[in-house]
Amino acid sequence: MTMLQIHLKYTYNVVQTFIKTYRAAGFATCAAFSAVFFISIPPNITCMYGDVVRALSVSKYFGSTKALSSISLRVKKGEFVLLLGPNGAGKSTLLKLVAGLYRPTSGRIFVLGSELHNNFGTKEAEIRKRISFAGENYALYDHITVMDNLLFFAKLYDIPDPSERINALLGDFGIEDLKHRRVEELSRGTKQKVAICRALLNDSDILLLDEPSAFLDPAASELLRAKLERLVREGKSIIYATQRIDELFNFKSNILLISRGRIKMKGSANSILSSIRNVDVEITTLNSVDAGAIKGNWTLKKSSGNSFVFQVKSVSTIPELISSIAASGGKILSVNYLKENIIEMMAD
Amino acid sequence: MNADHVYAIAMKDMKEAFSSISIYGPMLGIPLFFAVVLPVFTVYISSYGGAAIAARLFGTAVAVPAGIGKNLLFIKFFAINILGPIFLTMPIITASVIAADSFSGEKERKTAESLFVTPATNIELLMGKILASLIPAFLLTVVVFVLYAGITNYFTIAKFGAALFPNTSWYMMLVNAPFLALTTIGTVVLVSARVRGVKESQQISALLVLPILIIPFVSVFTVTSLSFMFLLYMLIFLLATSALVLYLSIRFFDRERFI
Repeated sequence: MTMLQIHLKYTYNVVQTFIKTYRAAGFATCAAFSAVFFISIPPNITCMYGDVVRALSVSKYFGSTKALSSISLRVKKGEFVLLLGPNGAGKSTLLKLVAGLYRPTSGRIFVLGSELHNNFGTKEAEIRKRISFAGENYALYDHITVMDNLLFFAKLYDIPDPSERINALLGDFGIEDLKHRRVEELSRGTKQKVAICRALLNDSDILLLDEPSAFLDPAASELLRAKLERLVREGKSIIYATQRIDELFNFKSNILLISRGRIKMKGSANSILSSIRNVDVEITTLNSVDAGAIKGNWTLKKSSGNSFVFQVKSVSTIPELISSIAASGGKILSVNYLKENIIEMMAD
Repeated sequence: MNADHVYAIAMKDMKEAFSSISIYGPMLGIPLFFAVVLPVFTVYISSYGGAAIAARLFGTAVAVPAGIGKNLLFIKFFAINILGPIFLTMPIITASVIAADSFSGEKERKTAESLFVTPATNIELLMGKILASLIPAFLLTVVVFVLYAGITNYFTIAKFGAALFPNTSWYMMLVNAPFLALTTIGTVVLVSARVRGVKESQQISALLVLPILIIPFVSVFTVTSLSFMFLLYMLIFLLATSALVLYLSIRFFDRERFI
């Protein structure tokens, strides 16, 4: 045996002994590395399950003010997610985080498999082309015309020959004749329509809408609803923030109830509403009814002429209440649950 | 870098700036004052009191070249050393008005969120906005320089038998102008992210005129004058300053501060 062979054999023995002795520790180390690897979740893994948006324990602070606290979110291709919550709940902050306008204080957000950075390159620019955002402030340039506004954004999204598409979108919302008017001359509702047209301009894969129907008339709201439903059918993903409880029923969507920067509830409109307890319902009838005599899972709180306020134990009881009133001869004119209280109740 | 994006941002900013009276008001008023009122004032005082002021300024010991009266000596001194620095404030004022509207305006009017969500990169955004401020600021400065020179020449050429403009100092001032504008714009970018609105941004960036306005005073005391060499040193200083300020403004540009 040469000296070299002796040295090699000795080294081999040492390594073997080391492996045998520390095998358990080795497995533990490998396991730890694997865990770290999976926790960090590289972009390609986030796409594996068809998520177009994935937020992992995202928190956002503005100075010492907490806007969002450890929020996790998954949005799949062709999914409609409704963010519901009162003012200041953190809906807009979450949308702006997804849009790449804010950086999370902690946690990570992946959009189409990538994290959006402040200073980005060509690859991220391509991803940003597939995202649209309509904020609650319209964010239009007041001193230039509607057409100039939309043409400007069309150029930034590299849309070839955008005039035809712009005219079609403006036509859909009935404002094509206003295209040469300055934005500052328009009403709030019309500005909102223009902002929606801008968001729909680039045929993006992800649409982020913050209170888009706040100032829309009923016809425009209905048109928007129909357009969004069609987009979802085409495979677009939409995150829609609202504080209007009636919008729960407008869309077939997954609902996230946000309050004080946290997700309080997730689920369908029915599952969320059925979890609410003690809702006030105002019912008006055409004829006089002895409301006190109608018994069930409710209590009569107030009556004034043909108008009655009942407190029902759960929202799912409302149809039963209506049937009972009808059965006792009441001709129902309107049913309103006191919406303003519901979000606060859900948020508690 | 996508040149179409830069062009679109620059054109939009210019279109918006010149559609607002708060922008084009000062942009027309200041040049009108600089190009029309100042030459008339210069001609007037040179005609009626120039010799007396020149005697006070330079004393009787100053040798006046043959064929040139003290009036001409005074008007030359006034036009270059007193009005020159005032003209050099033109690119600063105009650039600060447009740039403040372009950067702080986006923040104040909350339009930045729709712009920053687009695929335009930081460099494209900054280039577009810098060009939108630089081009009008420089063009206005040139127009004012030409108008001032033309009007002054028109009134004085018959009296003095020679055209006062153009001369080397004025050419050098024109060369300095874009770098003064660039330094101002870079300062506005740095300031805009940290202030709430357009006015604060304008007020802070307009402080840059103060060092320029020291020049007429030191000229009067003959400490220095706007000679070719002075303006050359100034150009070198401005080249370095504008490069540094622009580098810092790009380096520390943070979109989130504008939302």
